[in-house]
Amino acid sequence: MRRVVVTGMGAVTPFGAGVDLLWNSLLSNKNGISKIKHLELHGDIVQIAGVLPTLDHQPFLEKDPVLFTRTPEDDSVRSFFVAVYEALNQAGLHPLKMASTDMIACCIADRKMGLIQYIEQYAPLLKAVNKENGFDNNSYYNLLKTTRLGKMTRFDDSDSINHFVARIYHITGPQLSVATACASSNTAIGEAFMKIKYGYVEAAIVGGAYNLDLNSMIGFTRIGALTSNPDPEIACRPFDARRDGFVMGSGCGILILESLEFARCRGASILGEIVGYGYFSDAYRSTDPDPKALASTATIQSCLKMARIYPEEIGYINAHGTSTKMNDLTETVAIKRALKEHAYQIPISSTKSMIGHSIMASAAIEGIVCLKSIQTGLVHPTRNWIERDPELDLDYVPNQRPREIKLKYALSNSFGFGGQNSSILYRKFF
Amino acid sequence: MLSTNAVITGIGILSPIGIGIEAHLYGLKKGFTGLKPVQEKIFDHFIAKVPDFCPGEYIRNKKALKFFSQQTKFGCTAAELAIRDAHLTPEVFKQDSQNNALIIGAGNTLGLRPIAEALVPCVNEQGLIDYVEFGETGYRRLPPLWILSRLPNTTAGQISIEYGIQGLNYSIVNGVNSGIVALGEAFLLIKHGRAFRVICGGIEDEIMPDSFHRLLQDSYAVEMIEDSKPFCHDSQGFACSEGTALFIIETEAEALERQAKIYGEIVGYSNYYVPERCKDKQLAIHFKKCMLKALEMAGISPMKVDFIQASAGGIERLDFAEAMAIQEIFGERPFVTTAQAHVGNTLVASGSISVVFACLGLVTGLIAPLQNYTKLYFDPGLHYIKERAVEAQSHYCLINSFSHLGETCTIILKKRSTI
Repeated sequence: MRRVVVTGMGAVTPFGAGVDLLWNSLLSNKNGISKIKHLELHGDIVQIAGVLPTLDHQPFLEKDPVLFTRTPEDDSVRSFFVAVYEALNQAGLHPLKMASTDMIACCIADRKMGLIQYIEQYAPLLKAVNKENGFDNNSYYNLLKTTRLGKMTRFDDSDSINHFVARIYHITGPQLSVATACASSNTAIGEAFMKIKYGYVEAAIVGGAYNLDLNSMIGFTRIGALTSNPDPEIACRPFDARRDGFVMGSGCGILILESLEFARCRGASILGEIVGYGYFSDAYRSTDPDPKALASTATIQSCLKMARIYPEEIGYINAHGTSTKMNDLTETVAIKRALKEHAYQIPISSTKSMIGHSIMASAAIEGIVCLKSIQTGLVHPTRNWIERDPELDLDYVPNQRPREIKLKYALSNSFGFGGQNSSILYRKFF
Repeated sequence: MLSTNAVITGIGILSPIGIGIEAHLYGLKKGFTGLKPVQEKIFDHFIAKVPDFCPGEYIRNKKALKFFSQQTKFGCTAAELAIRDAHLTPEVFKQDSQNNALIIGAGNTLGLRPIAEALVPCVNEQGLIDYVEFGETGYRRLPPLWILSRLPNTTAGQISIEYGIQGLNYSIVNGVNSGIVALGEAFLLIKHGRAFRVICGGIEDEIMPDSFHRLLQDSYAVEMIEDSKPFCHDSQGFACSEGTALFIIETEAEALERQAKIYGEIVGYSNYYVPERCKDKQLAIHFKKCMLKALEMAGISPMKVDFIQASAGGIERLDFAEAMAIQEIFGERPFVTTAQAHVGNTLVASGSISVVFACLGLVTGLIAPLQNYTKLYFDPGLHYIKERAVEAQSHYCLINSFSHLGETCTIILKKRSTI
């Protein structure tokens, strides 16, 4: 079976553009969570998040005139492209210069474009047709046909970031837009990893991209998953006793995966290797993880099994660590069940403690963090982990400085609504 | 686990023709179509609907129905129909739960009607949203679990809960091709021993006025269903319709051991992308590559293919290039038809519904004809099935799904002797 290596990484996070900026900010225990200004949120709809930064795209995009002229006009998609650009450049992979791109896959998880971004244009129409006896489809449709709506982007509503990446870089290989809610980009990385391992493709642009919108803020507030703490400095506190819900985030994390042969043939620098992928489903409830953590335990175990390693070889766990009561508890249970007594020896941290939960993008950003930890021998702290929860008794790297460790393997966990669990195991490249 | 063959042993389908494989078999024999000319120019007549759909008849967790979206109702119904058709029981799934998987192509049109109930009371007379009122009271009119209907993986999650499926579970949001790509990826899962059994296919959501209006604006869909004429020069676009098709795919060994009926074996799959908006010969090159790669994986020559379930749905640019590509690879030999002539374009489910028609063609020998055609591309030159269904013993069927967004996918099915 072929080995799969990582040759490029790119990130856009609430800290700004670039993997180095992300990494240095995490090591400094900085806060990337702030008040949301680009959406009108009032009342008890949660109003803090890790917000996508306003980027000056020009310095990134003017280096490549083709990229600049063909990037979609939507600002969030343009920002995502800054991460794609960074990752491809680091990998030295230039699809536009290749004779064929059939063997490059695009597997980036992202949220679907939706009409919610144009809600203000549609609001008067919705009001006109929503009568006491219900919503009248026919009147709504007739109004749509006779109303001149303002400028909208040229997106087809089904377009995904994979389409844009393929169009801009002229990539003809397979596309897989994966959705497993909060675990999406881990599943995307894992499925692309399997495709390369089995020889269906040589390389893949993988990861996740997400920008929060009105739907997500009202939806996740309504379901009670978000913190009610309005203070962006202390609201997100994974594994801490006073945690009470997650904080939304946004961003984009991109990794370039390749078969070892392809990477060597190109003379690419290798940043790390993927050696394990685990995936099992709770089949329990749509909204809650299984408190016994059976499937998440099996997910971690199968990841180790695929890599043929023992628990004591794992040097670091980048946890899903959302800051909800249930996730942090069941993730702790799963780690202990899967890794037995060695679970207590492994430093664990939550990247979400500083940038919030960027849903489709979070696992990819956390994969990048794992690789940076492997490269540097440093583990970033978990911001706001101050007071120990008696039920959570593992080594959550606390709210202080980064920790130096010797590290060969790093595990990245991600779990999603619908009971979807996934783990990816990264290894130092030898 | 060893590399193994993947066979289709169960089908759950909802389309404008009806609900369940029996309704479609009956329709095929009687020459039914689910597409009726538009009688009255109102929105309710522009979408071909699944007739007489009562989800309570199929969905186990009836209490949960109230928070299910149409996508989840369609999906859970199709899963139940497929499981019944395969003569499986929920207990079988629970016995070896981690070796059962789910890969679902999930359509999610994300229209604005679901938010209207909460939003409208907060829109003032000038049509402006009062966000303060919306935040203080308005959004609370949404049900607490409302966000679940906005997540594309909710239906797959619900199916896993209903049947205790604990293996790999993910949804695909590749647009129109999602359903058939789900089938192809499920095939690879079985082939590489990552699961014994997979529920897979495509599930479309309710098509709402605003999302339909966007499709019309982009000139993909037609308002009058009769204006859609697959493979014809004068087609105006595709007919929009509701639908879902899920399959049970198993290892050949599992299927044989329990003496399951087998609709066909999946032997070829390809998935590529067309990054530029091209047409004619240039687009046909991409479509040819997709079909040839699937043939290569199947290890067969074009001469072996007996009939083709084409992607053609009435978009002139795509239909012409597909006809050209088929003609250049296969010539006049195989029969050519398209399921979209009978059920319209069910978006995410369209490719998987084409696979259902292919399965019926392989097991019954009946291949449905084209409908509502005028002057067909490359006619003569392609062996279109016209007027009535043909009876032919076929061994291999090739199924295409070519999306207006650039995705291309081909599946090849091989006839098996047992059903």
